[in-house]
Amino acid sequence: MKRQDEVIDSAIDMGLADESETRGGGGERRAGLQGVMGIWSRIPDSLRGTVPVIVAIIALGTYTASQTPLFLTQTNLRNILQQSSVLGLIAVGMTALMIAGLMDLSVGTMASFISVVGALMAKHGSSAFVIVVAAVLIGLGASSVWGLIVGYVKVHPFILTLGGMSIFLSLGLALSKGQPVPVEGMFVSLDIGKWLGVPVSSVLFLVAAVVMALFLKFTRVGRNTFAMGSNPQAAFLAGVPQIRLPVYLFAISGVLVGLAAIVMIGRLGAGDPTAGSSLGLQAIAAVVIGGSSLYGGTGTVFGTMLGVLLLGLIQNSLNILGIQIFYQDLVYGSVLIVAIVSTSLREQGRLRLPRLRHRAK
Amino acid sequence: MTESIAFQARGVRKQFPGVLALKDVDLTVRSGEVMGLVGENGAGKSTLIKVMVGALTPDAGSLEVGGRVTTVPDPSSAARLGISVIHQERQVAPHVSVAENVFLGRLAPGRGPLRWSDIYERARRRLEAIGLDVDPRTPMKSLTVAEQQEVEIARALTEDANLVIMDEPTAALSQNETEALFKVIARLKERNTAVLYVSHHLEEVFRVADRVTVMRDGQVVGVYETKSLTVDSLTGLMFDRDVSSLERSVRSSARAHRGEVILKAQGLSVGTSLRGLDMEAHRGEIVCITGGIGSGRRELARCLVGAIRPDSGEVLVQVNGRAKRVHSPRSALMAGIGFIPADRKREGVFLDLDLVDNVHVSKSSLSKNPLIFPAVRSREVSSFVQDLSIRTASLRTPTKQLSGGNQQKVLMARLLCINASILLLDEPTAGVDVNTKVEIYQILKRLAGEGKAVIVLSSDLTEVKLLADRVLVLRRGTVAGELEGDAISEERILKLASAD
Repeated sequence: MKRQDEVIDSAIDMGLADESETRGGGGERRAGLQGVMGIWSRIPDSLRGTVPVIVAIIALGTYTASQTPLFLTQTNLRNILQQSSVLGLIAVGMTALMIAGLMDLSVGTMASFISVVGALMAKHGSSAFVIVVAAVLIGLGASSVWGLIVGYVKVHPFILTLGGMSIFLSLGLALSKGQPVPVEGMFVSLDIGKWLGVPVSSVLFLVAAVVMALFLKFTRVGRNTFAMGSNPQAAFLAGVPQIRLPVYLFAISGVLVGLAAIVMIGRLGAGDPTAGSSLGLQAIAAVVIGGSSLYGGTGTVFGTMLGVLLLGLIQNSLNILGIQIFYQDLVYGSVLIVAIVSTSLREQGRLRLPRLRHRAK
Repeated sequence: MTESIAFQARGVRKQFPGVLALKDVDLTVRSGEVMGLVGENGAGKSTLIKVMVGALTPDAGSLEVGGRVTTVPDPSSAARLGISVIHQERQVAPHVSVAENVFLGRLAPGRGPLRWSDIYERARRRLEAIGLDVDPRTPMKSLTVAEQQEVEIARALTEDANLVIMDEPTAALSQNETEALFKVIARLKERNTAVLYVSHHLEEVFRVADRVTVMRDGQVVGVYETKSLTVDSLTGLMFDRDVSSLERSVRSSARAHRGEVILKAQGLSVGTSLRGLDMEAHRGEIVCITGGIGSGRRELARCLVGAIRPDSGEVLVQVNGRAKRVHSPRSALMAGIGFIPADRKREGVFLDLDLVDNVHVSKSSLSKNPLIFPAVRSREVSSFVQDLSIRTASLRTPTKQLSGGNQQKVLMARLLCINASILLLDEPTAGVDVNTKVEIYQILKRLAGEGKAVIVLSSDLTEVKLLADRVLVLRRGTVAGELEGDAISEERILKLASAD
């Protein structure tokens, strides 16, 4: 439990958690006796949902480490971080969308499509810089279209982006003729390259997460995101822009999808039209596991990072424990179901995580 | 007419936080009788109905149905006991047949496949019983509003129907449809069914009710034979003449000086709800807009803040000598119109978010500056929280932890935070405790004194009388009349609202 507190503390230091909220309940803290519960009371409501995730991460990590010495090696831990980056970048954008009560199912196939485009551009001799700019612009443009349609026509983004998901899958397959498009060396630096010992792709994920957390906390658009997700009708009447806001949020998500596509090319050494197909649903899963409400209004980037980490850890553990890859989705699915059921129960107040009660003596 | 008692409530008491909503209420409805239930808003009528149908559990008191003492723990047991409600809003499934609506939720009693011919036949008999000539196979949505309501009544008429409660049943009906409803009620009486008729329209109560129960401040004032009453004597019973000292303190505050016209609505039409309505509001005055359900009050509020676009007509606001047109809530805010909706929880506050976010949302939405630092926002918010004496543990408290009255003040702080020059409040004291009510009145008076235009939409006539410098009475989508100063009285307002 001590470690959880440290995690929260470091989250605050990183600007990922809300300091005043975290300390808000701390004024009544008492030393000693109520140690564990005291820590619990210091965790703000918005982060309490992440505690079970942290417990799960620690438990799974401990178990896997006890089973094989391969787990706690620098290479393997770095590997987990690397594997998580693509999903992480996409999930960070998804977090803002979901806090606003929106979502984008098309991000996975969109990333695949962009990776194919990028790989083809590389094949025709475009420079890395041009390809990165193009990837970001395609993501931004395509997602902004979703934002405009959601803003103007008020369609539910679920069905809209479900349609988009098929479109990008098909476009990617058509462009690549169904085969991965190999790329020579160029982007591999993103994956293998290190900055202060950490893979560049992971640095990218971390920077995106920090920037998003700051964005949600310190900007007008960020606060409006919470307002819209918390109560759309009240937000409308309170003057929150109805078209601009979804466009901004989808656009930000699109930029991150473009970056994720570049990282994908680096990881796979190719533009693969199907590699990202399940990323959209996985990103939503990560956000929900991280404690965001499916209905908008609440959520933290920190929680999403933990969700991404848990999913990455599951994948890695299954791999190095030698469990057949066919079971991977079964575990993913089960974790998601547990997460959503417990979140819903908590929201309905049926499953109360313990709260510290300060009784007068 | 038999004298057997269909429904009886004795000593019903219901306490809400800060309000004793029902104080030892007795109500008796005989079989084959239409009992009217009248009282101003907040008198406790709807609380009583909720207790009768099991939507609320009373703190004390007993209910008797058909002569047997019973409890009504939930709405489904009310249905089993033969108590049903016709609400002012239709409770129908529009996309399925009339027959399925008649038997909504209990289409077939036994197991096995549905026997449609049988269902249609039973539905036809039910519809005949109330004199509605409609093929049970017709889709519900092709019926008129009044016919849909009659289908609801047919649904209520199970074999063991003891009591049919009609809650403002004519709110959405035209004159002819209302006549048709009265015929149905006459048939119910012939069938010896007891009817509780709840309405603001006193002339309707005089038309259909045999007796009237009058409520005021959560108590029954008395039960009277309709024949023994006149409209004037009934309104006299409904309203408490005694002005409390708190109210006096509000009233004694000086009337503000009325300034220039700042808001003007011209020829507003919305469907059949608003029909070419004109109105204006001046700086420094409190205008109250009142009128029954269906008078177009809600739609007017929505138009004034740009939440719905009128079919024709426009809303203009004077900003620095130029007229600005309102076409969305955002443009309304930019023109200085601040709005507090009637349904605070659904449309007003963000329950999950803290006070700072709730108060500052409009200001930051209108701000040109993309960055807003939490410390700055907290500072801007805290002065209004103090000014309005909002009782909260901290600025970081989620709004859902505040009382209704404090949530209402949070919404007022939101308007003060953008320095709105026009304040539009829809039912500003609904669900607010008495003390906060008076505080809100005093704040509104003060704001008008500072030269803001305050527009209050209210169905609470005591409130209207207390606050208003000017009253606009709406009826069927237009301004039926305007009262000013000493001419404002509950009786005059009621007459304007219901005259035909």
